[in-house]
Amino acid sequence: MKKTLALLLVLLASLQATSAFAVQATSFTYTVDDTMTLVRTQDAYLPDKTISSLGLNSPEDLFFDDSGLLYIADTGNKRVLVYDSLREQVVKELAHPDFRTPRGLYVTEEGQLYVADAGAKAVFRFDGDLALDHTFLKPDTAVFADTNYEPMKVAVDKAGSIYIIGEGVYSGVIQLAPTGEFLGYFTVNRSRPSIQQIIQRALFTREQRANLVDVAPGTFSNVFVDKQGIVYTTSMGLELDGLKKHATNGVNMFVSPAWGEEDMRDVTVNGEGVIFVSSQRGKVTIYSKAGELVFSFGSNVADLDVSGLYGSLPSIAVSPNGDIWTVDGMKGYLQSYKPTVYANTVYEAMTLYEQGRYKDSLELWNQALRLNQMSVLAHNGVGNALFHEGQYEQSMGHFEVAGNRHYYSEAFWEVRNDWLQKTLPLVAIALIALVLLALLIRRLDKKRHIRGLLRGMWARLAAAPFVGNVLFALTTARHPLDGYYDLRVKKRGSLPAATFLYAAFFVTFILYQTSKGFIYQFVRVQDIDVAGLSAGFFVLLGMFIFCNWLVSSINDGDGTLKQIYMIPAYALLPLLFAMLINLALSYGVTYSESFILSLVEGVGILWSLATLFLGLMTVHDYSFKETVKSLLMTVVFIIIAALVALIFIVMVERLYQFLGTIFQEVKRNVYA
Amino acid sequence: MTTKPHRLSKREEKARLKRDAGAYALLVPYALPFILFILMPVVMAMGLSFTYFDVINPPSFTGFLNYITLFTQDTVFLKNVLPNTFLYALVVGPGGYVLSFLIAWMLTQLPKGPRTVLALAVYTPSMLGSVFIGVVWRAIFSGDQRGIVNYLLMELGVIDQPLQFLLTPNHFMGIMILVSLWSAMGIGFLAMISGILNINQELYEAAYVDGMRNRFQEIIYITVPSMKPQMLFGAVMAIVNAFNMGWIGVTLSGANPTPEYSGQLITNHIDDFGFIRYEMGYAAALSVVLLMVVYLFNRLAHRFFGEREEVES
Repeated sequence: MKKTLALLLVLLASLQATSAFAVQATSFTYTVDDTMTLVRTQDAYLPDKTISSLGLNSPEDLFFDDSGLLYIADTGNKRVLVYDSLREQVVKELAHPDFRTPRGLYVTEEGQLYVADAGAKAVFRFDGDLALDHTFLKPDTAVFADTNYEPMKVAVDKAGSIYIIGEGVYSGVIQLAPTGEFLGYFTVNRSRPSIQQIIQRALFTREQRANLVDVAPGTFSNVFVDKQGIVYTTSMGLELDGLKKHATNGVNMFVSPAWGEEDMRDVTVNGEGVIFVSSQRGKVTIYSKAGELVFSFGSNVADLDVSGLYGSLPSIAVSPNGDIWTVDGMKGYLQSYKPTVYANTVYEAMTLYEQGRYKDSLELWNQALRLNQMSVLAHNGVGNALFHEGQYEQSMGHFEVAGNRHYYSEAFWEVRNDWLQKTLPLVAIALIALVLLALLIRRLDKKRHIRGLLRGMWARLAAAPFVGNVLFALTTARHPLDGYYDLRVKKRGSLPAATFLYAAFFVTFILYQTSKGFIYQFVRVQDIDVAGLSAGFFVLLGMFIFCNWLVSSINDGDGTLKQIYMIPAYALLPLLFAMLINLALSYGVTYSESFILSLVEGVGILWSLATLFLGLMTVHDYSFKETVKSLLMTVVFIIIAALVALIFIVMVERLYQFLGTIFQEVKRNVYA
Repeated sequence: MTTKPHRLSKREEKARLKRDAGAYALLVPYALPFILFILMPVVMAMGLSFTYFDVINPPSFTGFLNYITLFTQDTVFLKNVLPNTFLYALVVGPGGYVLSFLIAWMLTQLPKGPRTVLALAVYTPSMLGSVFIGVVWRAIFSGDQRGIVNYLLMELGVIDQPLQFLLTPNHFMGIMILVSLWSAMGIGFLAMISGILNINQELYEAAYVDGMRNRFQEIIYITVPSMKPQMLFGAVMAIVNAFNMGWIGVTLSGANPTPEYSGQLITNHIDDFGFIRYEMGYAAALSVVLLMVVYLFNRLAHRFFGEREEVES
């Protein structure tokens, strides 16, 4: 809440700033920060030309060929326009009599134009002079007989295979051979079942399963083939995986699914592999080669004629010189954008980095950083470049700003390794010296009993009632059965000691939540609700103690409230130690050794739970079954108590309101 | 309190040797092969670990170079092998050990007939060699739609495409640990069964008279303390086994090194250097490190389960 408020304030402030400096951009540019939320960044593209003189009627597709000619599918006017974007004039107009609703375009490197026409139920191929060359009608394979064939979008790879998005085809992207034969579905969208559906599928009979409603998978909205022959698709209705980059077998190549709008309409890719996506509601989103969101801009306004705000945005194309061209599906005007210096720097740096020219890319990334100090992208770029240059320590700082824990961990490993190599001889010598010292002490101890002195001091310290009762936790941790037996019968342990243990545990718990090393501090400190954590901790603990006391007193439990208060306190010690150890380790352990932390935590939790269980069993003098029963009942009681508390709070609130109204009434009637 | 051993005079020593000569003679049939085929190779390996030896040229002395390289230069060892080995040993060692004890204890609660059959069934995995493990588990985790796990997951709709369980680093270690636990629970298991069965039943009865209330206390206070030798045997076997099961990864993935070194244990690393790269000196240094680690863990086991006198001596 606080964050969104802050964001709003920032937005408001920047709104004023935009009007003051008269920036050309009409919508903000966003990028993602280290927690994958959209944050504002400076403009990546500025509106350039707005062309509304072409008389377009609900245009659906744009395509740039290599010479800078823009092909426009003017669907409503049943024609295709060829527009020269440099000289700003229409070069050719193609209105074939067979056109019904030409909705998709693709131009191959040889200059062949493919037009997908859903109304005519065909894909047309025109040669370089825009003469009809071939018509791909519905393939007559038996497999395909029942399927709708209304081509919306089309793309062609280097081998001449045709990829078609068909209207109402849920099976996937239709792939035709150059001769027009049906080759199969290139790729499919699968529905992701919920956990409930998975359980249903596992338990139901075949008949029952047949009655379940099928979950509709996301529908494909567009397909594109880039210069390297890689196929890209967009889908509607998918929050993740809306954009996919396909390997030759149709599998998505993005390691982590591309995150973006749910209504992607068009995708295009430039020569460097940068991906441009347009969405129905007017957003232009730009992804890197690996599917990371780079920029996002544009917005949706239906009744305002501002360049860069769209009624709908059905298509996007990128000219050979890097300008973005878009078309508004409702108002039918063309809008172009010029990349800013910032955007160009970022693209260039990305390209150089991918080519392995780390040093060159480092310079450009640093330039990008000078333009935007908080750019996650640039920090990652600088970090990566530095990492490849072997400057691990510097790269760590950049990865930290970028929130890139994985790479930070890798860099830290190198730094640590370096340090270890330098200090290894010293460490070895120190270790040997320590072993020798221990042996020496042991030998001397046999003769002079040096350790006896220490032992005496320790014993005297432990003899103090409070200290002794705190140290008693060590006994309960190591010998729970004996320890808790002493707690019950010999009255060992005390309330102050237990309270001290709770306090120590609480402090450790909060430290563990907030102050781990960067690699393992998954949630930023400022995003942690410490008050909520503390309240939850104490309420839960208090409820557990109280409810367990209630349950055990009606179930022949022997424990008194005081003893029940002490049981968890003495049982939490292993977990406390585990958290302390992990807290220290989190500063020196990388991801490749992360299992150590999970192991320590697991052992701590299990040990504490076992101790708690045995403690309850011993103190209440229960059998195994009775203990389980009492624990279950305690949980049920806690839930009931929480409900009662909730009802009580609501009632009190009502009462308060009621009293307030009476007061108001009195005030009005008496003083008025 | 043990009595202080007094120093023997020379004559006494001679007399003692003469008295024990027969016993030493009887030891020879075992001692000789042990020295020849176990002690000697170990000592030789220790010697080799200070050399560079490629099997063809005679070994050349390099001092501590192998060890220094191991701990400073060998990133695969430091980044993958060492963490993997510790994770694997810490889970499979104690895990297999606890499992085998629990199963042994549960089986002893059964009458003799079913106990024998089930004991055989549980012991089977550790008798079967790599071929069987390869066949069974590779069929289960096969990377195509015919793999049993893949088939089930796809049937339930959890995944769209078969997962390459045995080729993806993320899944590999987990599967390796699972398979290892399955085949490791039989180790030391027979000793534990016999240990539990040999405990005097009167002890339990006496304890119940003294106020023992449940099975858990039975295990903690009677069963485990009464079978310390078997527990120690089981622990040592579990530790040695946990550090030597590298072949499971190789069998499952069908290659050494395992995919992206995800299941690379120290034994695989030794195989890699010794029998694939023929860097015998380096492999020997690795073996020595392994020996030290196993020895350390064995000392720990002795601490826990050994008889007091054994630790003191």
